[in-house]
Amino acid sequence: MNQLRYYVTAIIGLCIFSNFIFPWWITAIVSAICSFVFKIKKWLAVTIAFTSIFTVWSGLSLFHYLNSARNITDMISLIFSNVGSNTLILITGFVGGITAALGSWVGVNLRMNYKNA
Amino acid sequence: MKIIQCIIPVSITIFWCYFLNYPIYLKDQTIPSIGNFFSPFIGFWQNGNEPLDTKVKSIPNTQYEGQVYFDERAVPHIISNSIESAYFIQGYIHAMHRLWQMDFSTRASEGRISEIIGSKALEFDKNKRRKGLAESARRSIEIWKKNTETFTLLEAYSNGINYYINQLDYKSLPIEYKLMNYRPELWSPYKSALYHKAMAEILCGRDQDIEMSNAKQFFGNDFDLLYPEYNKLTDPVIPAGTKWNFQIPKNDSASIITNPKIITIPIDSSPSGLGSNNWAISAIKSSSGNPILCNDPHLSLNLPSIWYEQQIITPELNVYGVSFAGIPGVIIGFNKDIAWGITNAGWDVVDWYKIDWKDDYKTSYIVDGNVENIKFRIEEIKIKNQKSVFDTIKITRWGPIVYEDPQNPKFDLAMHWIIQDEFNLNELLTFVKLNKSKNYKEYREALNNFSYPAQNFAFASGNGDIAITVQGAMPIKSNQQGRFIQSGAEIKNEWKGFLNFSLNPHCLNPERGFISSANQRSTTLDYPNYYNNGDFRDYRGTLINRLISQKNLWTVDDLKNLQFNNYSLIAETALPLFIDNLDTNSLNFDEKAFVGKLESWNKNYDSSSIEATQFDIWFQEFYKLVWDEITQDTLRKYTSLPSEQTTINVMNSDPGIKYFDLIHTEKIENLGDILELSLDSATTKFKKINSKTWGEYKATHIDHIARIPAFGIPFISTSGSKDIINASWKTWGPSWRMVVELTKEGPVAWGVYPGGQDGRPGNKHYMDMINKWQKGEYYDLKYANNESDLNTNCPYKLQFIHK
Repeated sequence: MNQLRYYVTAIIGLCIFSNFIFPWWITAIVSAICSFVFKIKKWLAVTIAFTSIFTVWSGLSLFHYLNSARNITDMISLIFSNVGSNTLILITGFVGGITAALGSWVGVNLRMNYKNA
Repeated sequence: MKIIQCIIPVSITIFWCYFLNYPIYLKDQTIPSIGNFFSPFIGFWQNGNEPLDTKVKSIPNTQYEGQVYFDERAVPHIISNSIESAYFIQGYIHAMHRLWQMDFSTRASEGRISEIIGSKALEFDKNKRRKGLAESARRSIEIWKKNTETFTLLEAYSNGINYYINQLDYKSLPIEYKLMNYRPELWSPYKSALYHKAMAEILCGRDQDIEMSNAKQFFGNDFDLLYPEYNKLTDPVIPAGTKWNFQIPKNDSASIITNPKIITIPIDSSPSGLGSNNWAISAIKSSSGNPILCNDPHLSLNLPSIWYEQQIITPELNVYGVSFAGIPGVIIGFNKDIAWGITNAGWDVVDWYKIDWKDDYKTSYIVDGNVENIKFRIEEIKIKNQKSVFDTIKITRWGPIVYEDPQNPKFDLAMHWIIQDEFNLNELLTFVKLNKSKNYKEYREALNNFSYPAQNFAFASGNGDIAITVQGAMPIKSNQQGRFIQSGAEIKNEWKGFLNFSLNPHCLNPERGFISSANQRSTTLDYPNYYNNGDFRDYRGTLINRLISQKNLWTVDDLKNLQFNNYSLIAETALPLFIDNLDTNSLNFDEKAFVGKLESWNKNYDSSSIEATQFDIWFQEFYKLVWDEITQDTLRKYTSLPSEQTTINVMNSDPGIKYFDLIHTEKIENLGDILELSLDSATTKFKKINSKTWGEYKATHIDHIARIPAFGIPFISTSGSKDIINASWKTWGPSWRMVVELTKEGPVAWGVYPGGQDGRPGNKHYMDMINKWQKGEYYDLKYANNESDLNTNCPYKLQFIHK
């Protein structure tokens, strides 16, 4: 249980921190490292990575939307066939979530491969 | 198997990250990098953030010092101990609020838009390069460099812009860069010169030589009647009766090409009707006893707005007004002692010459019997994700060959445009000097550096002087020269130099107590030098002069209302003729009701007026039918129509003229028939559009400069129309309204423009002034005398300090 808690904390904390410095795809690398280090079952690790980063990215975009980005989001929504701000927030969440999940999948497989070697 | 278990997720992850990290190019569409664009850390979500997120922010730099106070509309008030530092700060602030606009506009002038949006901009880029805007900008820079004082200021301004650009990372890029996936270029004085050329293209890049040549060919002997050079309605900028104490030596008249058939070269020029109003009333016409100056330049309505508002305070000057983001200083504005405003003079300074080729290879041509060789300039046009295109531009002694007629391969036209001439003048110095001028003498001295685009510079000073100068280089021409396409085979068709600036039309403290201009002719026909119509407009100037003359004393509110005046002189002159010449007995119920409404109309083009829509539709239907000889023949689309004014004059003076007959009917129609037919179609059309109000029917829209619909305003209901003082049309209108009263205590001013200070879409100051602009209301312009006036009124402050 502790492993799980540490894993979630690490993946969220490191992703937020690293995204302020490195390009967006650092999310995949951070997830891979966390999934490699913490011994979580394969699909659980992937699911948690997806859920955590989906929440971070969509939550942060919701925060921006509510605080300062309402107008620009509405304009961007118009550019993307008027999909609406909710959809843009969801897309943002999915971009982050899928990236983290893929990274996590890599990390788990590398760990399993390393353990079996 | 185990390795494959690793390779598959690694490959998919790398592919996913790679795919989302780069933009996707689909023919001429670019989908931005999804990963970057959607990232809440750096993507578009960050573009809602304010640049000024703290009350006081410091900008450490190596050279320049000063403060900027931003008022509640984000208007910066720049305070510095040196003008150089002030210009650095102005550059920084322009970039902070308008970087993308500055960058995009100058790339457009240079013909480099294909680099950003792909091959769909290729023809646009070719056109800019053939016209030679970049060439002209490079020449200007060499001249500007000679005045080290102003060039230092220009460099300081560029340094300010570049200081801002160098701070930018992806996160802080304006949204347009993220969408189109490119980065800003560093600024240089050359780019400011490009901006000057772009304005020249808008303001003096217009001509009617081809249209007029076609009209002359078509109308033959009736041409002079239908295209008079001077209309009886015209009330020129310089009052009639002004004596001109100089003469121009008589020159050989220019030889005009008589084209055997319609010339079908599509000319790309700025929309007709762009213009401006300015006027100043002296103390004797002002109810407060203070001179008052007003100006509203009519330009394309775009977002970000063309103008940027600011105040600059240094020990040498204290100036407030609007500038172009891209050019330092203040272009239209006021200081403690004077106010000035600008309208376009509208002279024709673009002439076309038919080249007499020596052979089919088009490498040499004949002038006065001698063979001259073409010079070639090869332009590489880079295109996004495609191979470059090379355009070979042929340059003649007259100028570049800009257009070639595909219908007529030997009919090539070379263009002589004033920006190709060298004047050894520093236009920037005009505004540097004007910004600190204290009186009429200094205003005149400042203008001596301004060559083009020719402008009507209205002036008022606190000591009571009012003046207007039509400033710009005026080509010396023989009668009718430059009105039509000329032969390029004769040297006599060259311009004969330029008039000395001291001979330009100007006027100081006229007896009538006011000066004004609204893009009408500068003078009556007795002016010694011939100049012809680039895009003169008569109605606004005539009405402004009539209204100001009619009333003895004017208040500031009266003058604000005059800027928003929607009265139509076209309706005043045409509607009684329409009704008088109409056989009302033959009208049906709908037509009677239609005419009945118009009979009681106040002739104001208010946005809520239904009658304005009715009249406008009727007039346009009538106009099309009268000139059906041209409008119904697509071949003749490059022929200029006689003006609305001429049409009304002909109705009045020559109602039996043959042009009222429709060419496609057997019957011989007269004026009454045409009015009836046009009323019939107007009534039907009016019903079809569900009786829209004028604002709905006109449907003004304010587009984003790059035509991204989401960043523009697709519809805004506005009053006014073409040839009305409140000259607001579908895509252009009053781009800045300013009223300045020069009181003994200093200037008191009001202003508004259709947009906002911050050019970044989504920002709260992106379009915050539009509501007031639409209603004809104004903001008080906060002219601060010193820093203490600003401390209490401005929510944000930027400090530029030494590192």
